[in-house]
Amino acid sequence: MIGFVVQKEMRALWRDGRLLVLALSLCCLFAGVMAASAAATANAQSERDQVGATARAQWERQGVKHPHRAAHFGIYAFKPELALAAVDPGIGDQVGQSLWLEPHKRNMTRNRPAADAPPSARLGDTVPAFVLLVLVPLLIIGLGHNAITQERESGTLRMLNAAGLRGGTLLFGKWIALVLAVGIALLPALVVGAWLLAGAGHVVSAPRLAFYGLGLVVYYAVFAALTVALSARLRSSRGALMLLLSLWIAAVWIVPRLGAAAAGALLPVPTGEAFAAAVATDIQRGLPGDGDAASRSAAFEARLLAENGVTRPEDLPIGANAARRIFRDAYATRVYALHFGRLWDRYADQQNVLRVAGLLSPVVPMRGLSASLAGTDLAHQRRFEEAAETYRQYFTVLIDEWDLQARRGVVAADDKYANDAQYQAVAPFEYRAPPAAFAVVTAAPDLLLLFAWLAAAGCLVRWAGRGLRP
Amino acid sequence: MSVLSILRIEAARFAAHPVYRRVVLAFSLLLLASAVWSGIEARGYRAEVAVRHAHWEQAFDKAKAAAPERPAASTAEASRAVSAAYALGRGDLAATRLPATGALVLGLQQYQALPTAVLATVDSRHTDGRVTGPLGNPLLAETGLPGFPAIVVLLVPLAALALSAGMVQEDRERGVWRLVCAQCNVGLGTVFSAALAIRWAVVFAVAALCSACAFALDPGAAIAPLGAWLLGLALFTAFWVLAGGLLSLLPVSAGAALTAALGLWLALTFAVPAALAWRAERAAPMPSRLAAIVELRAVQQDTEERDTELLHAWYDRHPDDRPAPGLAPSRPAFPVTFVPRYENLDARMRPLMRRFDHARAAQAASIEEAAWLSPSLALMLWADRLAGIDAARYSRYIDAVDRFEDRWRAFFVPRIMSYRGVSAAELSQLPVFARDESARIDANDRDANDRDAMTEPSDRSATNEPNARSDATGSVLRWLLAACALMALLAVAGRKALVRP
Repeated sequence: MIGFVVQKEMRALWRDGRLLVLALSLCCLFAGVMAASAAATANAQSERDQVGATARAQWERQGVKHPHRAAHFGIYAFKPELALAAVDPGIGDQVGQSLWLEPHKRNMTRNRPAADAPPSARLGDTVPAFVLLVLVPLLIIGLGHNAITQERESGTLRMLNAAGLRGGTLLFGKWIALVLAVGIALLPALVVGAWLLAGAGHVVSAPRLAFYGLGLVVYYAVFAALTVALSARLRSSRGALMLLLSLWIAAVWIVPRLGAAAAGALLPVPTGEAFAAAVATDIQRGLPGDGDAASRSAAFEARLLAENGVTRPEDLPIGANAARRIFRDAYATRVYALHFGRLWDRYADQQNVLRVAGLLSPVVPMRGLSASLAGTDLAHQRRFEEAAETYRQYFTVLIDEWDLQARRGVVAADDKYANDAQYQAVAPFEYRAPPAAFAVVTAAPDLLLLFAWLAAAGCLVRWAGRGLRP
Repeated sequence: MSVLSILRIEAARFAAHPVYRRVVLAFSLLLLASAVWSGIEARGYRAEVAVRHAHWEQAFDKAKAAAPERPAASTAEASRAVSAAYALGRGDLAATRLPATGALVLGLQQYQALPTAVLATVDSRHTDGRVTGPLGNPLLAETGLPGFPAIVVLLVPLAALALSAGMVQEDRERGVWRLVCAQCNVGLGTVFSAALAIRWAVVFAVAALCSACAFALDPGAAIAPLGAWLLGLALFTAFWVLAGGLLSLLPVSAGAALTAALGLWLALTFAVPAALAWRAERAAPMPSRLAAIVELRAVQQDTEERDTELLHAWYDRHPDDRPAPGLAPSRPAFPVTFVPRYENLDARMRPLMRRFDHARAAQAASIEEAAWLSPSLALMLWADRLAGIDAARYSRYIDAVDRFEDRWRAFFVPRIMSYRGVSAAELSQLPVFARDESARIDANDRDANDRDAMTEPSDRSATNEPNARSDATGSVLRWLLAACALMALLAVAGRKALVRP
């Protein structure tokens, strides 16, 4: 029986003309937004590659310098983006585009695109994910708000009831038909989107795409279920439309933002100055049980002299300053790891608070899943920054170890004795995005929440079907 | 039946409608929550600024106490004095901050998003990796509340459209409009206008009260910007109520009118601003931050290769600041060898980095030109201007930072290069941004013209175009007024639709 209802509903939606108009509008809008986004992402990647290559060449050709000053010239790391980042840039605009790696310090990313954005950007980014996650639910509401109210207003619901059609069967049929209709409306847009992505030179990860598609189907099914169920419980089409629009506004605009605001208020993060001061204090005073910087340095110096059987740093058979730097930087790296770890953990905690808001809006888990699969979420960013930090330690230690062997005793900072061979010996920074499994595991709470929403939506349809009165 | 009676009846009809009551209640609660939030955040921001000011004073007193009584007289003293002076020169005493205006609640997010507390230095701030200002979770920045004006821009149209779009169609569908037509003896246009006026008054009253609440919570708020904001808000509300009224004249069902209203909201709030941003980007492309990295590194490398030459050139230009005999070590060392390098680097990097501010200002000007296409965007620009965080004022702040940094260098660099260091007495002449430059950010045209004379012609067009625009105070308001007038004219033209029962 459900099959007949689905068939009839599909036919009605097609004859109504709304499906065609909305599908065409959506396809055009999505294609336009996708084309712009795919081109912008491809250009950005190409620019990152070019700038990365030029910056590397600048690093390799510094000429004769003091090796530590050469290390301070630094290396820039750029995060490569996945193809799906063109669909959902996620936090991309809010994190810096580059990470400057230099000795002694672990920096934060710099040059946030959001700081250069025009005033209109504060109203929302027009990206493909905006169409998929914000506008398509509106399409579902537009198509389905009168799914039952129209039957009631025109008197056909009474006839169907008299013919013995059960409310649950009718509602489940309408629900499936609505999801199928959205799928049909969206299919050309998605095909065009995939073609545009491929045309812009992106290689899409099939598992990520498959999970993205699964997430979207569940997400749309939730909205379709809410639409059909509320249409069944309300008397007029206008009333249903008003209520559904209110819910859409709350789900899309209000709940995620209030959730984010609550997360920020409940779990505040320090200011940049306070963060830097805490790091400096821990380096200076030492972590518990380590002693302060002066005592650590004195102990190291004494050990260094004793191990080499000399009484003055000037008599050391190795570079004294390089040895000191290796020791001091190793400690600073520990302190930075501790503080950055806490900061990223705090961000993750804030994300979990935001996920609680997902109990009130399916948009929250879907956005989390979308950004995770696109590689533009916090977890991917943290992974990149930690890889860059590991690389920073590698290249600064490599330079210092060369310096350690190249000179004896104390060398002035203005002496120049390193050349291009030393810089070229540093392997380039290469970062590969984690596999799809990483994204799926990271977004598992979001995925579970989406399925919970689906289950709840199914129960809602069942409940509305049972109480359906002509 | 007088107009007043019509207004009274329409108000009663409005109040009796359960859907309208729920819409107004939800709108009020959401807007009030946002207003209270913004007010509290603004209060916190000002408190933090006060704390930082107190820290600055403490740091200044500490620096003064630690500074030597007299300039260095021996090589050992000179070495310590130079290190101390260099540390001061790149320390926190060079803090600058864009002064918040009396309408901070309207632009707090932008104050936090843009670098509004730039730290000047004797090094180059363009190569400084330090983070100043708030650290933020990028996820929350992306998802979080967009600030009070943006919430107003999102919610006021929705409330206005929910109350007015489909208004006539619904009465027609319920058979009420037939009765109105039959009983009305003052003209249906008057009834329609009264209904719209009631809706405007309700939406505006809620938005105005919430705005006043936000301003009241901010201890630094001022009345004048509140008045200016309410004026813009009144016009903005009028536009959307008139748009809703216009849609309710269309020969379609109430549901269709509401759907169209939503389409209009999406178009004017998201699509048109996005299109204007795209047009602005085409007109004044934002330079690449990544490409700037390459340029920065090229300049860094060049100055490093020429450090000795730059050192000698500096002494040639400042013969009076050569170190006195017996002060300098036999071979110049850090930081003396670094300071001329940084000076040269900054002089070359500054114009490159200012391109971003100029492009941002030019884009904002381009968007403002066409703001009449989107009242939502026009109100956002109005809020930015009142909050003092518009592109033109921000550009003036960076001008002030540059001027301050020049004075800061002029104070420290000769004292470092001459190995004299900074004595306690000299510290009282230390340049202070809040005292020396803050007031000039909001200086009048004369100052802008003075700057014209000092600016390269190629830079002038980009720098001063926004200033010229900011002189045309209220251009945004004029756009809003024009949009309202257009809507009113369309409604008058379409009033014949009212006579259909």
